[in-house]
Amino acid sequence: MDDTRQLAPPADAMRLHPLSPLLSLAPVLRQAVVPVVIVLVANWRVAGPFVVLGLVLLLVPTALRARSTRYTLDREELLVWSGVLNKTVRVASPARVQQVDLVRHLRHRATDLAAVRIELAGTGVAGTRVELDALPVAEAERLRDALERGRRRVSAGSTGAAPDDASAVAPADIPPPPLSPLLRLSTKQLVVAGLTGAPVLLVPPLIVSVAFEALDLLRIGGGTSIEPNRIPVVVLVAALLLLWPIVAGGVMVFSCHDYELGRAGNDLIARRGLLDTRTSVLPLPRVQLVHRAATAPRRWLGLASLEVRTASGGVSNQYPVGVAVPIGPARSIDGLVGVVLGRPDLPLDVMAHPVVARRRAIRRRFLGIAVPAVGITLVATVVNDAAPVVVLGASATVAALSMLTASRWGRSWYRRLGHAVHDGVLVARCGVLVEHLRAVPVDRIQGVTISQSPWQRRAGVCTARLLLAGTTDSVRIPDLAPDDAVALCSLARGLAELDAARWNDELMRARA
Amino acid sequence: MTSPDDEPLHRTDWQLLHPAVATIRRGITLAIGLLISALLCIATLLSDQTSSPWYGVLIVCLLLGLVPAALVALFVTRRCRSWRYRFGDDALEVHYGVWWRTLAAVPYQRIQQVEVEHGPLQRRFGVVSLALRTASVTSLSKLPGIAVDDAETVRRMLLQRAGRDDGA
Repeated sequence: MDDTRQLAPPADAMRLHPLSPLLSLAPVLRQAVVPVVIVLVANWRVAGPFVVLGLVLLLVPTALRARSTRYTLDREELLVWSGVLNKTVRVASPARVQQVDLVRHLRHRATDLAAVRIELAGTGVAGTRVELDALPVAEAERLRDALERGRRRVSAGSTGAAPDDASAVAPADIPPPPLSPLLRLSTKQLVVAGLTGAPVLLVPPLIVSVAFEALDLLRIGGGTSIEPNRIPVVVLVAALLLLWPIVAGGVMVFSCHDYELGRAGNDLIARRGLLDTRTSVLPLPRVQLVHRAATAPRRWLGLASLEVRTASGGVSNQYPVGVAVPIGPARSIDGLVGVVLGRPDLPLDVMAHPVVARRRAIRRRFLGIAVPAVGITLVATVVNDAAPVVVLGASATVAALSMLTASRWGRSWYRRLGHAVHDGVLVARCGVLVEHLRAVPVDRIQGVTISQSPWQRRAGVCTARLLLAGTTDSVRIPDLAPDDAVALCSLARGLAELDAARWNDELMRARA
Repeated sequence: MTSPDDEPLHRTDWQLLHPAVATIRRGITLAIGLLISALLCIATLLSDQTSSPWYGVLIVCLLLGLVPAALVALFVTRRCRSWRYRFGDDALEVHYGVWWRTLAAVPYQRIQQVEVEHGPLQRRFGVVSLALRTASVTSLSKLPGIAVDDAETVRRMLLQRAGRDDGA
C-alpha cells in the first residue's frame, strides 16, 4: 500500500459495531455507578443534570472515536485509522505481531460481539497494542485467523513472492495446523490454584492483624467494658476467614474456567473464562521468557504455575500480556517450560552459587528480622516498666529466635538459588516463599548488567541482570561468582568479545 | 585517553567521561545548595523567630545548605570519575559506581535508536549525552559526557553497527 493511501481509510474499510461506544464505556460506568447512585439518592434534583452532563461528555467523544475508527486488511497487514481531531494510522504487520487475543467479556457475550487485541513488539501499552472493540464474533474470528495466517506465512518464510503478487497465494491456502492439547484444568484444580496463590496467602494474616488492631481500639475506647464488644469482632474474623477461600477459589474459577492450553504448529493457544472468555494465540518463536513460580503450599502439593512472555510491552492488570497457566502438576509445568522453548527435554537443574552466598543470606535475613523484632521487644518491655533483667532476657530470646528463623530461611534460600545454561537456554532459580524459575533463550538477551554492592565486593560475589525485550521483568541472578557472571554475559549474542579480564579485575579488585 | 583525532569507536581501550561532566554536575549541586541556603535564610529572617544578627543567620544557613552540597559534590565528582566505557568489537561496555559498582554491556546489534542530547550547560562546556535505546525498557539508556566533536561520529557508527542483521 502506498503512503498516500495510508493517510485516509479506503472506502471499503470496515467500521466497529454500532454498540462499540457503549461497550467501551462499560468498565468506566461500572466503576462510577455506586458514587452516581449515592449522589442521586442524596439530592437527585441538583445532581441529576450533572450526571446527565457527565454521561453525555463521556459518551459523545467515545462514540465519535468509535465512529472514526476504520480498519482493513491489506496484504495481511492490519491498518487501523482512528481519531476525530488527531488522526492516527496504525499498522500491525504480521512480522511484528507478538500475540493475538480474542476477548469476550460478559458485555460482549450479551451482545454477541467480541474484541480483538493484537500485541506488537515494543514497550509501553499505548504504543504496542492495537485493539478493535467491538466486532461481530464472526468478523473478529475472520480477522484473527487472517492475522494468524499472515504471521504463519511470514514465519514460514513463504513470502518470497513480490508484494504485488501477494494475493496470488490466498491466505486460505495455508491451513491452520492441528491443535494438540497440552494441559486442561479442572474446576477443582482451579480452586486449589486460587487458594494457594501468593497474594491470597496474605489474606488470613491480614484479617487476623486487622482484628487485633480492632480489639486494641475497642479496649482503648471501651475502657474496662471490653467483653461485650469482643464477640462481634471474633465472629466477623471467623466469617472473613471462612469467606476468603470461597472468594479466592471463586475468582480463579470465574477467570480461568474450562482452561485449555494447546499447541498448533508453532503457536501456543490458551482458552479460558466463564463469564469473560479469552482466547490467546502466542507464537512460540516470539517467546522471551518462561517463568515458573511455586508458592510454599504449592510446592508441598507438587504444583506450580507458569507464565510465558513475549517482547510485547509490559503487563497491565486489566489486560495481562502473554499466556499464563494458573496451576498444574509441577512435573507437567516443568515439561511445558521445555515445550514452550522448543526444547522438549530441557533439564531445569541449576548450578549452586558460592557458599559465601549462604552466609550472606543468613546475615541479611537475621538483620531484617532481628533489628525490628528486638526493637519492638525493647520498646514494649521498657514501656511496661519491666525489670532490666526481663528486658534483656526478652530481647535475647527474640534475637535467638530471629537467628534460628534467619538460619533456616537463609539456608533454604541458598538451596534454591542457582543458574545454569542448557542447550542455549539460561535457567535461573531463586526464592523461598515463592520459588521462581526463569528460563530465557540466551539469544534473546538484550543486554547485561552486573552490579556489586560494597558487601558483595567484600564477599567476592555479584548480581547479574539480564535484560529482555519489552518486558519489564528482567532476570536477576543474585550472589554469583564474578567469573561466572562474566562467562554468562559472554554467552549472550553480541557479547562474546567482552573485555573479560577487565570485568573480572573490576569485580575482584576489592576481594584481592 | 587516546588522541582525540582517533576515530572514537576505534579506541578499544577504556575511556573516561569528559571532565566537563563532573564540572557541570558539581556546579548544579552547589547551586542547589546555595538556593537552599538562600531560602533558609529568607525564611528565618522573615519569620521573626530569631534574636541572632542577620550575618549570624546567613552564616548558619550557608553552612546548612552548602556543607551538605559540598559533600554531595565531592561524591558526584568521584562518581563521574568512576565512569569508564569502551567500544568493544560487538558491544558497548560501561563501568561506573563508587560504592555500588555496575558493569553493563549493550550489544550494538540490539540498539534500536541512538539520540544525541545536550542542554544549555552541556552546550556551554562542549559535551553531549548519548541516549541508547534497545528493545528492553530497563537497559542502560545514557552515556553522559561525550565530546561534542565525537558525538556525531559515535552516533553514526553505533547505528551502522546496530544495522547488522542479527536475525532475531
